[in-house]
Amino acid sequence: MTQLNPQAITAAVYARIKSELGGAAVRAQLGAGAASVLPASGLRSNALPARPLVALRPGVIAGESLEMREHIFTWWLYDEPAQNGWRISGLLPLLEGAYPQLSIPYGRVKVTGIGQETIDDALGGLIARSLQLTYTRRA
Amino acid sequence: MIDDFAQLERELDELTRRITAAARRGLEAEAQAMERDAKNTSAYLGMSGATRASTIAFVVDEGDDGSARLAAAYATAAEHLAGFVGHAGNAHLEPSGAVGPGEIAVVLTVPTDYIDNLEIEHGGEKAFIGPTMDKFRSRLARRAARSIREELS
Repeated sequence: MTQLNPQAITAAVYARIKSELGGAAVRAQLGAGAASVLPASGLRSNALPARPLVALRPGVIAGESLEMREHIFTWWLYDEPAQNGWRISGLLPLLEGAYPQLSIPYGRVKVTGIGQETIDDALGGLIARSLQLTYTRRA
Repeated sequence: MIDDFAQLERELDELTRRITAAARRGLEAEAQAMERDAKNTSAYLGMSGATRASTIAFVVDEGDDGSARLAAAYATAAEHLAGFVGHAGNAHLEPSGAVGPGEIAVVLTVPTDYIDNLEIEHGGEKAFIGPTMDKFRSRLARRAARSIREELS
């Protein structure tokens, strides 16, 4: 069976928002378009891109041998406190819409959680919210 | 033909009790594995040792809200943080929440007032509660199902 390895799956999930047509509506609402899409490791940077921004963190891969594998990804959405969360709330359906069920090859992807609005003190009090995606494929 | 409905009702109640008890046994076993996994995380380094030492997973149902185990974990966190000056965090006790009749839940938590920060900061860079739950969600369901099967076989 043809498969993608975890790294390729992560790249496909990320590219969907960073550069593909399917993520264009998301990019249009970000502070600096594609430049406001980054891997979560980039949140350590001293110069974050314009807000709102979205950052992808790959999570665990669940599932035992011979079972469906679940690859968990979390998009973190950040915005300035002055925006009161309105812009990132508006981004949530766009982000969800960027991932039709079969948009990532060889598996299925769906939204499996949306976190409550919170404040990230480590990032200067930016408003944060998370959207969890689960990509499922046969092991 | 059923002609003793009272007897039938008693037997159904007993069956429900056995199923619920079996599910709880299975969940308790898997919760222990989940707690060990969460304690062994490398997502954060830790400063006082309070988070790792007080990470706890337990099962709650209508008759047991887990408050005794939570209180013990709180005491562990408080002990590690007593006199610690590396950060301003404290032990923090928050009830795990009630579940209704016939419901069983598994809680994975840390009784400190800074665990939320670990889960959130820098896009969940040091998060381990959420990821551990992601990892164990289906394992918990499978373990409960297996325990029920064994009880009824």
